[in-house]
Parts: sequence; structure tokens; C-alpha cells
Amino acid sequence: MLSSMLLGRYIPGNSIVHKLDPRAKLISVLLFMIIVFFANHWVGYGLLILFVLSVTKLAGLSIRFLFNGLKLIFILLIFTFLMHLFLTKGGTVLIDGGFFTIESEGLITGIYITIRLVLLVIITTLMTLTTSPIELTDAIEKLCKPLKSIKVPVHEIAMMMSISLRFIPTLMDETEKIIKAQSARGSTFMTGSLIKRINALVPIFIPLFMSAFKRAEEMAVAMEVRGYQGDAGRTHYRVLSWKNRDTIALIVLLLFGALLLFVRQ
Amino acid sequence: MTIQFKNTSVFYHRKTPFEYQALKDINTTFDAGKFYGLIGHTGSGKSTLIQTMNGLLLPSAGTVEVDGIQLTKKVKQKVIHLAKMKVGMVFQFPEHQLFESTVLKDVMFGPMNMGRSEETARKKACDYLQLLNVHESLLDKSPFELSGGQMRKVAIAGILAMEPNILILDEPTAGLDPVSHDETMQLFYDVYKKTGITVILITHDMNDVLKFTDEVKVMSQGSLIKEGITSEILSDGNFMEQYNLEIPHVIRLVQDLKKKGINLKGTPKDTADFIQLYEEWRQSHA
Repeated sequence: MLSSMLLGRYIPGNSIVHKLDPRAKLISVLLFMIIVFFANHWVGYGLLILFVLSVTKLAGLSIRFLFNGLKLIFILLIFTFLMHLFLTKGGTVLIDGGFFTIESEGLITGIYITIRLVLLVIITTLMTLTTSPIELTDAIEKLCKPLKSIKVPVHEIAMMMSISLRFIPTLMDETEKIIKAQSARGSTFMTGSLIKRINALVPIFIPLFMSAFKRAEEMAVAMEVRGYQGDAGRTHYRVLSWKNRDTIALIVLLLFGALLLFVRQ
Repeated sequence: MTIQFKNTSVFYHRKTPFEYQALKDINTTFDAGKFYGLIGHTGSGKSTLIQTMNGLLLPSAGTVEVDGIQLTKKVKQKVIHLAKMKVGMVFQFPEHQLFESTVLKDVMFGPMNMGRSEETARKKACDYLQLLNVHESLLDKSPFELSGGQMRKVAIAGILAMEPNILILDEPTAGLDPVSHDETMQLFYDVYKKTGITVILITHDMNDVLKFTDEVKVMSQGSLIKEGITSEILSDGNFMEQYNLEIPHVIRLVQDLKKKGINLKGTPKDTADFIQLYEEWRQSHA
């Protein structure tokens, strides 16, 4: 299960989406988050889905692969859907179960909100799948540079982000290893009462924290040994370059946003 | 306590761009009461193979039979648990699995999971800690206060205390100093001699393979490419070279001597063995 986790994972590739400037991708994702809220009926949502599907295709990834990786947030999605289904009122009553009613408005909002969430998660996942963590933090650092004038430690924040992103897969692998070692000792996570299952997590988390702290310390020492002292006077190995295709990508996205506004009711 | 593989295959990341077959149609048997070596290059599928032996990984196709328990793609959790109770597994860097507040409690964790009473678990824990030379004064200490070598001993005791019928060792001496290395290997061998359990050792150290194992199975790229008597396989220079495996020191020595006209009788298992064979040769040529 853990190995199919896509959060924070990067798949190297050569597609047009991979080649876009990370800043363009970051801005696009932010814009897309706003654009998603323009849609307010099925035409808009249809267009959004179509858009996300084409970006996925352009990135050379299969939809199925993405969906498999999203399994972990399905609980969240179902929960959201059910909340809307039962709590949003309006329209005709579809089912009257006595103490609860399901009304058409609730069903429709539920579906729309769920689609919205799925699209948001897919588009952000697409960004992390096609952009290496280093590029991504470079982009954040560049985009947030103006904040430096009001003493925001932009470089340090970017560095912390890149380190955390970098270690997500490592920690995942580590967790998997520890789970294996403990379950080989007869620990059971899948069976028993809730309390038993929660207790079964202790043998996993303690070794995990131990190794995470140890790793953090070793890393800090390794960085200091190599003379790392933060932002001052630091140059970049990779220099980001904004190309025409990045501008075009943003224009396309803006046009798409305008189209959505146009079909809005 | 045999382990039998029948057409076993394992795929990782099925139906994703990362899909990759780690085990390809394995057919083999591990007999009861033998000391096996499992060798092959990094990524050859050794670790995957051992993980199918106690249900940590289930075969994507085929079956693994552990002492009568059938493990297949669709086996129930309960059955897997039974298999886990029969197979003890010492992973690489086992000290990473310590978590309890005291050394004693950590060693008791496995036996308690098997449903042993607290009293029995405590006794077993004490016995095996003693066997591993962990001093009694350490029993109530936190395992995180111990030195690396002691932590590893405690972790190993935690697995031995489950008294498994099959003991699987995945590079149990990685990162140990030479003295601790020899001690630990000797200890596993003593446990093996004393209890007659089946032991499967994964290692890159061919000297250990030669010294301790009866039979070896060689893996490459997810397939089992050779199995048989240890000394025969490890003496096969061409084969070992072809798969980039190192020939044990004493065997190389015997082969070099042969070129100089000194023919020793038999294949030594370790240095002491070699010295004896050499002495015998000297006497017969006196």
C-alpha cells in the first residue's frame, strides 16, 4: 500500500509538462485552484475534467496510475461526499428515511465538491510527479524573493521544504521496513479491536521517530561540515530559465479560465 | 519444517510505470534441519524470496508452502500469522526494530505476540539474552541507551526467543566489527546445532557461506540459477566469476596450491580446516 503512495514522489520524464519551468507550473497550479471555483454546473465541471485529463496525457502518465496512487485520500472524498449528501438541503426530496432526508441539491453539491477535490489533488500531484523537489523549491524561493525585504527567511523555508519533500519517500520506505520487522515478530495491525490496533502502532512509531531524529542530526552535521550557512552568498547550480512555452502555458490556462467564466451560469 | 516453492512469482508495483518482476517462477525446496546459504547480487531477488516465506509478501502467482501452510495470493490474515510464528526473521540492521522501554520487555514482545504467558515469555527472554551474553544488569535499561553491538544482540535475542522452526538471517552481520561478526555468526551456528532448526542465511560474505552452510541457492535477476552442495558450487571458479561472486579465501588458496602441485584432499570450510588438510598433505609427503 505504501509503495503506491504518490504524495511527494517524482517520476522523471521528458514530456512537455516535465520541461515547463517550475515557476510556470507553480503559478499554473495556483491559478487552477482559483479557476476550479469558477465552475458551477456540469458544463464547467466537464471542461475541468477534460482539461485535467489532457494535462495528464501530456505529462505521459496514465489516469489509472494516478487513481491508484490517490486511493489513500478516498476516505476523505467519501466523507466529504456523504456530509454534503446528508447535510445540504434544497431541491426535491429523493429519499426520506425518517430521521434523515437526501435531497437533490445535496446529491449534486456532493458530486461537484468531490469532483473539485479530486481535480485539485490530481493537478497538484501532477505537479509534484513531473517536477523534481529541487526544482520546486528553487521555484518557490525565486517566486517568494520579494518577501525577503520584509525579513521573511525565504531561503531557509525553501531549504526546509526541499528537505522534507526529499525525505517523504525515505520515511515511507523506512516505515515499510519497520512494519515488516515488527509483523515478522507477530505484531498484528490488521486484526483486533481498535485499541489493539492503535497499540500496535507504538512498535512502529518509536523506531521511526528514533531513526528520523538520528537522520536529522546526521544531516545537520553533514551540512555544517560542508560549510552550509544559509542564504548569504549562495549561488545556484541549476539556473531557472523562463521560455516562450512557459508564457504560452500560462496564457492557455488564463484563456481556459475565461472560457469557464463564460459558461458559468 | 520444509519450505516449498511452486511456480512462485512476485511482481512489485503491479500496473504502474514501475512494474517489475522480482521473482520469476521459482521452484525449489528448503529441507528441514539444514543450514542454507542464499547468495546473489544486490537486486537478484533474495530479500523478496525470504519475505514470501512468512507472508510478509504474498506470491503474485504460484504458492509457497511453509511446514504445511499454503501461502498464496488470497490467503487469510490468520493463516499468514501462523506462518509468521514458525519463521523467525533477522533483518538487516535488526536494532532498528527496538521500541520498548526496557531490554527485557522488547525481547518479550515476540513471544507475547505468539500467545505465550508473561512468565514463559520472561523466562525465554532471559534465557536467550544470557545466551547472547547480554549482561543481566542491562535487562531493565532502555534499549536505546545501549551500544550499537549490544542493541543488535538484544534485537536478535528478540527473534530467537520466539523459538522459530525456521530462522532466516538477512545479512545479520552488516556493519559489525570483525570480532562481533565472528561471534554473531558462531552464535547462530550454535543455536542451529543445538536446536536442529532450518536456517537460511543471506550474505555477501562467501567465507561465511563456506564455513557455515550445507547447501547454497544462487539467485540472479529474480530467478534461481543454481542450487547444491556449498563447497561444490563455491569451488566452481567459472560459475562464480560469471555471476560476479567472490571465491572464498581458503578455496582460492587450495586452487592456487593445486597449480603449484600441492593437491589437498577435500575442500576446507575455514582456516582451521585448511591447516589440518595441509598438515595431512605434509605428513603423507614426508
